[in-house]
Amino acid sequence: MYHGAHRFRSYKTARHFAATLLLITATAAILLIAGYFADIPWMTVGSALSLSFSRLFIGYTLSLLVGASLALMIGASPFGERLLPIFDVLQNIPSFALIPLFITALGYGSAMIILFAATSIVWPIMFYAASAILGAREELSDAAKVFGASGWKKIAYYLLPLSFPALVTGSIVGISIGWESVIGAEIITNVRGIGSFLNAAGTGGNQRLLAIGILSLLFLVFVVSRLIWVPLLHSARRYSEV
Amino acid sequence: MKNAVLSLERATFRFKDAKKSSYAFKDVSFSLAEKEFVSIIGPSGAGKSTLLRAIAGVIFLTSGTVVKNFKKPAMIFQGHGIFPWLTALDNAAFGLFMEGMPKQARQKRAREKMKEVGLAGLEERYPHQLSGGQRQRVAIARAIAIEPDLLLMDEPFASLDSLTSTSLKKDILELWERYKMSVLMVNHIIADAVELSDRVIIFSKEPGTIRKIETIELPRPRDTRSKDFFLVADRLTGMIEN
Repeated sequence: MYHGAHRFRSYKTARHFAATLLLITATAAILLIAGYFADIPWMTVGSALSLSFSRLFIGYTLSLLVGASLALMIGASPFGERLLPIFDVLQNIPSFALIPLFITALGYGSAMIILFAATSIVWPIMFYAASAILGAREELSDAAKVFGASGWKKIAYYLLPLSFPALVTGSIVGISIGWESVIGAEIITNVRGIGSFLNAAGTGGNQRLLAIGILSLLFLVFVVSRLIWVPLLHSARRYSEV
Repeated sequence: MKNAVLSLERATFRFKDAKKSSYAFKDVSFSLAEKEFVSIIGPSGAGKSTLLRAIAGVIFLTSGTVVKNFKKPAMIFQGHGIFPWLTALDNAAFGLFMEGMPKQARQKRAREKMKEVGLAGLEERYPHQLSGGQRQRVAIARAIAIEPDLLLMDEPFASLDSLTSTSLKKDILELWERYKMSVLMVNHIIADAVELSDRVIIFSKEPGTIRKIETIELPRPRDTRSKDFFLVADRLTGMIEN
């Protein structure tokens, strides 16, 4: 009976996934066809969008590595909790105040924008994951220890799966902050990307390009959400405590 | 005591973060023999669970000594303490996995133990797909899978309904008789302690100290409706109340 129910759920998920893919493909096709007749510069929009997205992706990957490592360190160490107030002060430094510092260090370019985005994305990832670890029921960490999970085994087989749902939630929040950082930095520094594209379209009074840029951005955000975050959130559900 | 798997000598634990000086338990001394079943009963807040955590090595005593002549401790928790991200089978095999046993061998043994505790057919379920009693049985399977020489149980029946609790008690007695391991159980139900134990340690609180250690002379299997059973239970109740 259970296996039957499981197959049904898998089927539903697969059907849902196929419908999402169809919707995304159809929307992309409509945009491209409409763009062909309306003479929309998709190459320019696409190139700006991929530049911004690649910066966000690299910034997010760095943040995930650093944020998760810090959270695991806090969780694995008996004194880890004492570090939280320090990180709390650091995360309260307004990110945009750091832009001149990053420009001085890295100049105008992708590296500066990536670092700027990473300093914004890292905090939700770290705090969500650290809170999940510190707030877990004592019995779970006791069980892990009694049954032999210590050192790297504790990290790999207890802390990481324990913090997985929080890492997903923290990533979703972080990515949304990251988009703001990347686009904001591109607008401020006028480095090529979707931020500077939108800025140029807006200040140049080109409403059509502005609308196309915003719609393309929304489309990309939707695609990432449906194809990455929704399935991850779904699988994170079974990691939640019972 | 000869053949003691565990000996405590003036074991004391003091909470460090309390504003006032606060002992969980103080000057606790007793021994547990091989294949002996001992229960600790007493009022809430007497430090019984904290004592069990100290014996399991999860926390460290403030003063006193614990001589551990056991090699493989296992623990069953009040709230089961099984990992929500693992299937029932992987939970049961967790201790074996940490020991480094190959996958096929540990899954074979975990399946056998799950069958022993009445969970055959539920191996692929996640904890949220199991009832409270089934989760506690997974916790028991995880504990016996490593073939422990000391089984620590922290109020294992507390979160279960009376029917499940009765059935689980029967199973635990059978497993104890089959595997002949030493058992130390913290409980607050006097009848359970009388039914299962060779000796009962009665705790008083503030701070948690041993009031008396009673040997239960009733023959096994114990008739929980006999006059003698009620007399022993009444005597222990009187000791706790006074």
